[in-house]
Amino acid sequence: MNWKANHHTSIGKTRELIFGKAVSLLIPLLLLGLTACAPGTHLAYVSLPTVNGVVAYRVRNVSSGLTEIVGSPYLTGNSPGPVLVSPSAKYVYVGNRVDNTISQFKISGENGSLSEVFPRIATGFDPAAMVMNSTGSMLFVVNEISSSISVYSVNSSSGALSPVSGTPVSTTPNPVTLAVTPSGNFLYVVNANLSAVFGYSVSSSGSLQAVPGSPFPADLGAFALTIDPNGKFVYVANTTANTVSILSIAANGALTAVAGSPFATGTTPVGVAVSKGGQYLYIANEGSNNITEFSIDPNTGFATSITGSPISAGTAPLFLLSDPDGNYLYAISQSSKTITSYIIPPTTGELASTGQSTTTINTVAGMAVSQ
Amino acid sequence: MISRFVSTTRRVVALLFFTLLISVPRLHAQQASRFDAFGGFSYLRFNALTIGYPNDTNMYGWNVDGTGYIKWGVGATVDASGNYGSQLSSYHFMVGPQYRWRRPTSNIFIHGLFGKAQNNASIPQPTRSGFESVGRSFGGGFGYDREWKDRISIRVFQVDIFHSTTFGKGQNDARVSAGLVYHFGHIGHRRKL
Repeated sequence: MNWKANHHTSIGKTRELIFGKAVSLLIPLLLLGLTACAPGTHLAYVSLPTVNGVVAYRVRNVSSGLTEIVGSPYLTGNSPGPVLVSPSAKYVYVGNRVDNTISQFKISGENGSLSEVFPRIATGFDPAAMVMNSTGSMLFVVNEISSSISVYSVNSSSGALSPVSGTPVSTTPNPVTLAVTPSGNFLYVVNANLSAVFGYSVSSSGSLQAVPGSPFPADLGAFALTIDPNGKFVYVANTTANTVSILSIAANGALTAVAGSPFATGTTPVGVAVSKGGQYLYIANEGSNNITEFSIDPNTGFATSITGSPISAGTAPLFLLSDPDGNYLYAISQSSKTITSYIIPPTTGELASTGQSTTTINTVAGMAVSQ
Repeated sequence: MISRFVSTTRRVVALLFFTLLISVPRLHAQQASRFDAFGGFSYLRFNALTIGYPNDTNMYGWNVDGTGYIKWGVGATVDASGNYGSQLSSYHFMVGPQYRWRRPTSNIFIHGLFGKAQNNASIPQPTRSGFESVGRSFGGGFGYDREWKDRISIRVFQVDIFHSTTFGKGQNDARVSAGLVYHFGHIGHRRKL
């Protein structure tokens, strides 16, 4: 005898055949449905000094929602602070403020996770802020305690850093942050105690030379600065004066306050960000828990308050960051350990909440986004 | 030492399997199998979005299960699978109740599954080669076996959906398997349609 049945009817056979055909059609359809693509994303990296790590996030372009990438946080040196992503989006650099080093990480092309590339590179004491030129060939670091600027050339294939001969260069005592023009020709540094911006011209080899007339006056408590994407203006948040200074950049790098500067902000402005096209300026006010919004005249740099400004920003927003597509603004709060996103409407610039807020496991010290 | 142990174990398992194969009597037309053993290929649509990947991921691997029946259609199954992608791998170790409907030349079955999932991400770090997480998993599925030869059926498909909690995130994965089923033992004296 055989397990095969020998008495089933032709009706039964027909049913079996129909069922089999239906199944063979169903499976490819099921697989097709499962393999549908997700919408576009980009990556964000956040440093957490109390856990000595960097958390990687996948950011949805359509919603600005953040999803933590597996393996986060990735270990850094002690007390990571500033974070930046190379323009090639292949590497992340983190300044370790207690170790006085920079950690270089390779970004996984598959999921955005990080693997550190050793050795770590020495900086001056307390690397407080970092910036890279738009081509990704030079990295600049301000060392707050040693009051210097370290400059590194970046290997285009490996991302490895090599100190530029003649650096670190002494700068204003206790510098807190810096910014470089899109051309990479000028570098600006602020010190919260001196109410001024220090300008440097950058040679092709990375050596720095003070811009004629530097330092340039800002307002009391100059603390944060950024440069507009067209390289025409420097924006400085003045924490003591509760203002933002707007300085136009001359061909030789010298800075001049635009008409009307400084402009009033909320209380204790500590973060400043400009929209992708340079039309809108946003200031994080730590004291008044809101964000001041300005539209910027592209020719004169004059700032006009946007209708609806300021917008509430939770508890003590500390710094701001625009996403690479210019669609969203991220506000980071250290006290509430949150990253909150806002939509930047391209026609008005008036921020609107997305409803997306991500709580981090610990206090955030730096954040960077990639393409 | 370890390789000798593995080699010996393999021989013992092969011997047991062969003994089982030749010792069981053939099933009669009016009978249903007592035990089914399945082995085959599996495809897993891994819900990698939840752990920060840009898209869900396709993974391929193996799937085995063993099912014992206490009645014509009622039984329990033990299921294991391993699926592999370029950076991720995923294992499921599950048990659960299964019910089958016997047809003249085929079986249709449904089951519920409960157990553990282990997911691994190969992301090199200074002190480790990657990350792994083990968490609870549950789900269910159904399948279709079509007889091929005496005691052997082709599992045309088996579809399972799992909800697993690993890396601190809940995720929903879909698995499709196909392969061969070997039937052992017998239950009852007449067939049920």
